Amino acid sequence: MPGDDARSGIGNDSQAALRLDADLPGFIGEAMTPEQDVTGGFEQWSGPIYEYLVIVFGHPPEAEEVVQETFLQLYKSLQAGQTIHNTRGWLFRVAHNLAINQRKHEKFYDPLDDAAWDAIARALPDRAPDPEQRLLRHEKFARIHAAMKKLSMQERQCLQLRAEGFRYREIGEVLGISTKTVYEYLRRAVRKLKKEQGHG
Amino acid sequence: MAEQLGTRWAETGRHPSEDDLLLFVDEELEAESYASVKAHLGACWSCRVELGKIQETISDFIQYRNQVLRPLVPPRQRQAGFRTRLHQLELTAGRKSWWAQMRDSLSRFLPHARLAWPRFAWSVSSTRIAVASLMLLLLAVAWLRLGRESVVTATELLERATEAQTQKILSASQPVIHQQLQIRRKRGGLSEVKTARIETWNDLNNTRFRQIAGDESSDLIATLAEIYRANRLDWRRPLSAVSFAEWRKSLAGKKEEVVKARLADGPEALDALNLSTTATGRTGAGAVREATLMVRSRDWHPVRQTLKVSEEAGEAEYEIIETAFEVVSLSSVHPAIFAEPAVASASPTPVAPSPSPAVKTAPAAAIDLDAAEIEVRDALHRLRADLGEPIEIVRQSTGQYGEKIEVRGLVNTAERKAELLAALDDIPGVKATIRTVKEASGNRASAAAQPSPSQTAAEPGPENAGGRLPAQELLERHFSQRFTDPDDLRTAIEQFSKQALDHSESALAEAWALRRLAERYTTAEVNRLNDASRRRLEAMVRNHLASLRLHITRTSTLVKPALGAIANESSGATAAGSGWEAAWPEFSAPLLKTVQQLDRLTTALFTISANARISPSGAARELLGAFALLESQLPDLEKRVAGEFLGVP
Repeated sequence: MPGDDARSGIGNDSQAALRLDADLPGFIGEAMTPEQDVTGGFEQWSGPIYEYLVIVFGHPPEAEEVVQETFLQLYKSLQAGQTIHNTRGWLFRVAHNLAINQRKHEKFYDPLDDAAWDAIARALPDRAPDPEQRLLRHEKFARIHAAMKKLSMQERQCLQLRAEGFRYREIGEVLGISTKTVYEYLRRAVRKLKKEQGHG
Repeated sequence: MAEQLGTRWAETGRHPSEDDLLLFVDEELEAESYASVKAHLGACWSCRVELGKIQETISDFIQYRNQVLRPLVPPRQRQAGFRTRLHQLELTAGRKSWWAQMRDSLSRFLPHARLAWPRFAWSVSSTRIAVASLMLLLLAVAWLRLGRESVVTATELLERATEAQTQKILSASQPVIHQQLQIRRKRGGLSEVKTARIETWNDLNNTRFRQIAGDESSDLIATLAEIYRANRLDWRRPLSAVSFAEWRKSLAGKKEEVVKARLADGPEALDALNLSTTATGRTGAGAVREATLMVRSRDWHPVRQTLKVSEEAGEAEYEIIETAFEVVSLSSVHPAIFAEPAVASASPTPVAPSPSPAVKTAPAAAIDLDAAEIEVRDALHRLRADLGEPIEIVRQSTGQYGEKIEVRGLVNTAERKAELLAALDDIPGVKATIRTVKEASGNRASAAAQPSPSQTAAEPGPENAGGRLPAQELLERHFSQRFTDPDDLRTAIEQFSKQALDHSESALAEAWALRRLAERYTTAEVNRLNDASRRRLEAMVRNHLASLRLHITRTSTLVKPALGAIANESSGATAAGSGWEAAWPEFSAPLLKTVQQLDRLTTALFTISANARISPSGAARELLGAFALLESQLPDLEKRVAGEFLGVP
């Protein structure tokens, strides 16, 4: 239901004594060391974070490095006695910030570049049963791709995080922007997609 | 929600806007507005249609994300390395505070407290109850902790002990391991017990070893040294986890267990873990039938080893206990220690100094410098400074006790210089001399410093004024369907060419990096490396291969459709040629050759060159052949290096 999200923010609370909250299934109810916590979290969330980084920022080897660095940061924070609420949000935020930092050093390249799109789209595995459906599907994806090109970086990031299941407030915390700004980006992104798809 | 999003449309009496409907779909409206919109939708067909459009847009995007974007994300290559990094971090993190340990214990005991604690509302009565409960808990937890220690696997124990030993060795420049050991041999139960004390000095950089023991125990020590040698254990590193792992690997079959133990050799007994490995099957005379290695839980440092050795007349049990251990710098070791040739037995005290130039000029095997060099290469690799930037790694003789490593480089900016220096700063035995182009130019007033041929600008770009690319016709045919305006068409072709060349050049840089590693680390050189260094080398090789494959895929997916009809002709992988089947490092040679050919053809097709008289279709066919060969071979190469390809378990 709307408005019932009572969780506290992603931020750290160094005064509180205990560690991770219930965001990570399996993190609660078992006696685990920080290392086991982090290893469990790595198994659970490193994949989605890696995907997010590659889709938004590109360059898989650097994305992998950022993912590992993120979980090492998690370990350090837990060792230092920090409490982390909304672990998933915390991990995405740290990964996002590390990636932004890498971009400043030009280690990340362009994400899935536009010129390669055409070739990539043709190479897509096709599951549609008949040629007409395949054509429609290709056209649909081409339209979405064209719309995606018109989105700003922030709009793309918000869209990807929303697709990842984050609420507006959480997206704001990951990206370091207000909930209202997240709404604004998402609103614009959905409008552009809708228009390009002919739904607008 | 802290912020009110959307219109308070219900107060206006109008239909909800498109934006309000998005908030409704995402359940981000205030509860009251949400209920109103819901009620309105129940009554209003046109708003329901609008809502459907938004949901369809979202659904299309999710399909695009799941079916297009996500499958394009290449699989991760280095997940396995994370655990090692985490272990290293854990080792370097040191002991936690008393409070942190107690907190961890509490969270184990009361896991749900993780949620409850931070927001617990205290009151007087609840405080009393809580304090009493806490006291009880503390007592219970303290009792529980006495007997609680996570038991690890044999492999993990040896890995951690190896890492711990490596870290200690790396902490000193020109490290020398100094150990004092107590040795005891039992034969026939307690019918024959013999003991000895021995002191060893192991100069790792110069492979010099000195042991000092009393004459009366020379027989026991010589026998034990022979047992070590015969069982692939390293006598120069008694109690070494690496050495233990080597012996363990040599066993055809084994039974193992790790149990918690206590070390009662001081006023404060310490927790320890004891690994016991028993060879299954028959063992001949002189063979170690069973061995144990005990490590301190605190820092994974091995402190005791036992060996049960089959003898012709029964069995002997040796116990080696470490009574002192330190890693010191060679400069702090008395010169007399290594002044004499190493002997099996000697006077219990070092002899008087006797200068020996022969020792000082002894060839340096520099075992640990090898590790430092790998660390340097790894640091440069992480900064992508191993892809053709003019940086060289030089091993130099110091003229006294061996070698040092010098990293020399010329970089474009002060930021890059600072970044490289920071990364190399804490690697022992390494001197970094990095200069910026500006600094180099200043130093050489007349000769303008050039970063390197690959760094200089002015490479012929694909952009050109009015010229035609050899593949122009093919590209025009490809792009003309989408770009009717001549300017747009030209821009599209220019962008295409630039991207094709960029990807191809990046692939070539990765192939060269692999080749350089292969030339530096021949099989013999790899054998000189310790386990940690081999792992780092492996990780670098895997990274380069993964990046190479990525660049090849990108070039291929870009270029193939543009080659149109030619690409549709059957052009399978050309004959693999010699060398592809070889293991690392040999396969790096054909790999580089093929990537060079691919880069040459890409450049030939998509740049203008006055003297280029190539057949576009011929070059295109060759290029497609190179793609096919690389695309068929690279996954196999990656698989071949995905396991223990340098022989590290």
